[in-house]
Amino acid sequence: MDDKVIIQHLIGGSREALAMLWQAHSKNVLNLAFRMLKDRDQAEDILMDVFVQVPKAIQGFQGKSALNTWLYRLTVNACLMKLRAEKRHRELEEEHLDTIIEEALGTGETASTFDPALLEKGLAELPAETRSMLWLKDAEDMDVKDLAEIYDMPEGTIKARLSRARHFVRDYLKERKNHD
Amino acid sequence: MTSKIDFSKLERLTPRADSWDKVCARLDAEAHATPAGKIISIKSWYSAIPIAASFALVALTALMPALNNRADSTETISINSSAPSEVLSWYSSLGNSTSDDFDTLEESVGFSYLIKE
Repeated sequence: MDDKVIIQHLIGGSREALAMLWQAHSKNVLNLAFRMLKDRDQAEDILMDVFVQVPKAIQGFQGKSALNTWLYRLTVNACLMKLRAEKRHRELEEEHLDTIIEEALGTGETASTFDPALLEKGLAELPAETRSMLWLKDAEDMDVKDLAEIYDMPEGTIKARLSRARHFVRDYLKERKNHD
Repeated sequence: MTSKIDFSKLERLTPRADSWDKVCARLDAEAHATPAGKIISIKSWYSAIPIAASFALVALTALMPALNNRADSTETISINSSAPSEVLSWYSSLGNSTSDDFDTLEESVGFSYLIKE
């Protein structure tokens, strides 16, 4: 069913339309939340919170963005609120990340040689927002334009953050492999 | 460098089987928690207060003539029919005297009249 039709039904309070939205996007919402929170149970909670929130939130949806973009924005906001509430959002401040990147410039690791467990660890070092941004771009193939809408940032900032995050992850992996 | 990070080897989660049922249960609970009778939300109380004040004002305006009529209908008793002769003669002589002295009514007569009244 077309997004516009689903939106119309959602505005009308249709549970079937919500079920269709669940079928289409719940997995992506869950994985995005998991990338941000690094906790399966909390990610499931966010998934449910987001979908419980949809029938009310859709009333204010102006249809300017795609439905999945809007849904990801709800997810990112819900995750950020949770992280702020738990005061766990101090994992790695932007300045800290910049310092690390400046100290460890240099690339060479190809994507295909990534060790998944090590990659998880490297990603965990990134701030939650940047981690989710990288996930949406590289795993979900979202456009920078959509990311700019989700995170409410200029496209240039998104590109810069993604570039720094990729550098950081690659350097992290390279460093750890050299240590082994 | 814009080449993507390879996320393909990372685990992709699937929502738990009962998650959708939980969402439905929460939505149902929310719907029950907001019964149809609970139309006026807390926010709307802000506008309900001036409306109530307006109603009260209109009601008072409507009641005022009725109260005035009731006041008009109170029985007026003439002093002539109720006062003793001493009081009446004192009352009728007020202002007729040529002297500047104020013609006072005897205290006991005045008190007994007031107590009677």
